[in-house]
Amino acid sequence: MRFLERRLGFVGFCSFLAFVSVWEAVTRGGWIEPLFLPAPSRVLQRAVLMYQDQNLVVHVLASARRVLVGFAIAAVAAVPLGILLGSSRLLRAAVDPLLSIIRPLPSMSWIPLSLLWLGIAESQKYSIVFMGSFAPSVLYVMEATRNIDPLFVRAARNLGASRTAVLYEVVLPGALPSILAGLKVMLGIAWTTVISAELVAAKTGLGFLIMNGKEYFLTEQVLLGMALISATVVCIDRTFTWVERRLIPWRVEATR
Amino acid sequence: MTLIEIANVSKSFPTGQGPVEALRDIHMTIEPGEFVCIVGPSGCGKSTLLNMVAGFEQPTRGQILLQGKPITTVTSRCGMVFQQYALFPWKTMAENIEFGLKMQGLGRVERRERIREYLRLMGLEGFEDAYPDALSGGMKQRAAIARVLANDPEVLLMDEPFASLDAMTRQLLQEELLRIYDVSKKTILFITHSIDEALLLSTRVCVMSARPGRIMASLPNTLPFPRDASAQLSETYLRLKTSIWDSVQAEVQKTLRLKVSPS
Amino acid sequence: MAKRSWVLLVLMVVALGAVGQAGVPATADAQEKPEKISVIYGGSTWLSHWPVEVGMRKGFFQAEGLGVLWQGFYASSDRMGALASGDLDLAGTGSISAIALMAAGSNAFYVVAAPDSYATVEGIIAQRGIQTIKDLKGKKLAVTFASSAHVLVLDVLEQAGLDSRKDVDLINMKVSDMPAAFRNNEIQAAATWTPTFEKMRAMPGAKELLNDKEFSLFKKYEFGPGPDLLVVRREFADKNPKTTRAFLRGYFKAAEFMRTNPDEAAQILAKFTGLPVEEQKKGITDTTWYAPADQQRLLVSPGGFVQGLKQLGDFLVRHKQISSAPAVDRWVNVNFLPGR
Repeated sequence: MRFLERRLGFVGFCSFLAFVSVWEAVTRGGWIEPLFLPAPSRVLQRAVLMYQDQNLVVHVLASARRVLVGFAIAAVAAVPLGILLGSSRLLRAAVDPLLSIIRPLPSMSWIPLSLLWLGIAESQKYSIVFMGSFAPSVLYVMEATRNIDPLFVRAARNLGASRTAVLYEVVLPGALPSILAGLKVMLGIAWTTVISAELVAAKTGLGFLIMNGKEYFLTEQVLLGMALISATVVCIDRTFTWVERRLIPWRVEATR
Repeated sequence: MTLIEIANVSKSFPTGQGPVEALRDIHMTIEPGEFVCIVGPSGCGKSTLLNMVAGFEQPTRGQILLQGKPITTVTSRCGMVFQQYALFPWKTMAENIEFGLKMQGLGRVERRERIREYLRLMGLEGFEDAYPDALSGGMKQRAAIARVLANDPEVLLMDEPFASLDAMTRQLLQEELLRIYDVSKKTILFITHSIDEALLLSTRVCVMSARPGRIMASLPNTLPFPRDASAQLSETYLRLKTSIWDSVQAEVQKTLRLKVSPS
Repeated sequence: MAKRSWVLLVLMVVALGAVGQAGVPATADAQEKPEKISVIYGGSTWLSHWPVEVGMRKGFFQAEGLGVLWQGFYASSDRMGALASGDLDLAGTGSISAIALMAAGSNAFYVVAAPDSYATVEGIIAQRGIQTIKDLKGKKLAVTFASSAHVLVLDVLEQAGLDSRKDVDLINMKVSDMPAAFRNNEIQAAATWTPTFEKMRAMPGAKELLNDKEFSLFKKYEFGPGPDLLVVRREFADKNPKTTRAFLRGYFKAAEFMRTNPDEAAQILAKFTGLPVEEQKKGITDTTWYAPADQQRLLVSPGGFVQGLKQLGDFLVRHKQISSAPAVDRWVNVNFLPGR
């Protein structure tokens, strides 16, 4: 199992390497103007340059903080609300239309209102991430709660659990794996709002890096910003998986 | 005193095509210490009957009394063992057994004592820290029984508890249930579609008809205790089985006729 | 809907072009018929595009047998990006975007003219309490990054000995967002340009802290922080030299008209910019509208304007906005100017 995993990982690494090599060759060969697609080596050069300038890390951290804070607030609000909605048909009927109204709105569309309400402070950037991830998170948690096997609820009630006890002894742990899986997906989606969040009144962050790179036709900086978003998301995803394993040990043991 | 009285209970479910009657005029009593098996074809409403005793559902007509008082809500005095075990996958074996005790508000020390007792009773020692999904079906059902027994209910409700186990494991658990019945003297209401299982385990067999479910026969099981699988070879066993089979067969034929006849 | 109006526009331009070719008496230059009857021009309400607007309204392009399709862009960088990818034929641009595109190694365009020289139409608006640049320390100053105002801010802060990264909180913001943020005291100052510059200056509690005359290169060479350029897509110009020339003839005629008839030009442009006519006229008369005859001096020899662009390139490198300063003269091409 482990061996196979490692082999597959190696295959993935090779395909990545091949992709980058072809990219480098095509751009080095002069078939594509660097303005439209700079070579990966130039992107790397830009990364080294900016790292030495000491602000590359600042950009990564600024975006990570915005996404994580905005997302954390969304998650903290979405988990209890989603559980409540998932367990009460009445509440669901009351709140569902509101969620349906909010959900399809692109994060970008919140910029004008957020500027009016929160100004240009960091809280405005958190709010963009929040609005981009809150409604879908609620829906994920709600679905996770609704998908709990009613047998578990019956069993718990039969063993003498009150309705509140069922909520935190059965519904919460029972939905936890799906909630965490949903939140992991949502954290990835939260990152897609980083450009919207950093469009106004930001001078740090990966979204800013990309948009400012565009202003100066520094395509390699644009690509660097994109690559760093991907890399950061992968890192955060790994961390999340690690935490997930600790929070739901029964899943790990069962699949071992 | 009668432990459970099912008094003229009927149950129907609303459907798109109007209400469907699942149970009609069920009347039966269960005395303390009895091991009653209800046998019936699938879809006869025997699980519905058990769910009403547990308080998960309410009768449409009539009522069910536990020690003379009507059952109106879910009660831990009627402990249920489900076919699909219903162990909480996020809790270890020990934590699953502990669940009812925790809900009762028992202290930590007493809880630990009882967990150990029932782990031993069900032969689960050494598996207390394992999660259910890591164990076999037989082990899971032992844990589920231990979890209900630890809660010390007035009556044990068992809804085809061994139906999803393989034949060997089933036989082992049947014998184990007999042992537990002998030791604990619990009243048991057990649902099965297997006449063999009913005869092996019960002190009385009730035969249910096809939908709408009715009690067609109630026969005392005179097979002597202690029993094991070899009881199935005795004369009494065959006689009992034949008489049950006769009544069931008539019912099965009826269902089949209903199914094939053009409506 | 959008598609239909686009088709309509094309039809109108075609019709205009036909009328121009048939009905208007040919000028000396116009004997050379353009290869194409229309060009796509990228502009905004900024002053360097005013001659194009006037030229369209007064029929100067029409007289050359040319229809102009206007594409509005908020930022020079978007305009230059569209030019580089072939969506525009000609554009007016701030020099910073042009220099950045040069530095990115793009040969996609020629610099064909220096259209104007202006002062006092961009600068920093600040709250009344802020007396000097040094008072900006610790304050929030809004500026559109990668604009000429950004260069002005970096330069005046440097002159005042302030660190643009630490001492002043620079807030990256679109010019159009600045008035509201300023009114809410979310920013204490804003670096902005016409027409927002004049509009903000008139806001209660606001004052002009400084304008583009404070730019160090302006003090030395009368060179603004982001002078305008008229650029043409290289491939388009090489294939359609007559069309390019025709456009430039129309453009300079319009500029000439603004010089000689500022009142009428102000009437036309006030509708375009939304400024009061008086202020619009002041904007026209305060700006030097270069003639074709000036271009040799500016762009070739002694080429003070190109020298200024190079200095601007060095400035941008020094402030780490671009990685290397381009040799600007490689992009300059004065062969499309009238009289050549």
